[in-house]
Amino acid sequence: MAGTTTNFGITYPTNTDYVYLGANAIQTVAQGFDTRLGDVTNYPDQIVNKVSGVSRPVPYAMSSNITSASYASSTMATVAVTFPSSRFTVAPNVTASPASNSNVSKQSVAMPYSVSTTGFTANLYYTLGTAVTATVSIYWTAVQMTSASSGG
Amino acid sequence: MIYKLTCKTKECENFDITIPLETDAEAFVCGPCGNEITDVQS
Repeated sequence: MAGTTTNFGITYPTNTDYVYLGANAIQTVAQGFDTRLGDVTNYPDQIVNKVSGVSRPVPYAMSSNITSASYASSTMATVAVTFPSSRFTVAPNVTASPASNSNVSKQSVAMPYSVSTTGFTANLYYTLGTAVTATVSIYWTAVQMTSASSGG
Repeated sequence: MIYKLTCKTKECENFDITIPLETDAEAFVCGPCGNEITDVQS
């Protein structure tokens, strides 16, 4: 057991090790990954991005896409968006923003609300306050940081 | 109002899965594929 992997530091056998020690070698490799990945069966342990010995947790679940909402001679448009099935275990933090470069988009704000584990609704408001007819693209991102909380 | 939304895009991971959503909206969109959901039951 003279070798270790560069990134995860997992110990592995070399070509001069004895075959009869193979089972022990495999156990060491398996145990190395098990230790490295942590107790993922018990929450709130998560997959952690570990670089140079510093742990930086990554989100438990995410989803993101682009959608659109249409003003129909109005100052507000709404669109309901479903998340991928079973993606989230708690209502995630959702951010939304008008994405296109049209004049109507530049004067619009997007507000996510009614966020649940299954989806959310985005309201689009035309800030000039006059009724318009237009379709505006919306970028949205939903993040759940741990298995028990949207933040973290 | 609670809606039951079913995406009918075959390539979508939400295909044929009914998802409940409590909201009031003018349009319904499947998040993963971005397509409009026409199978809406309230």
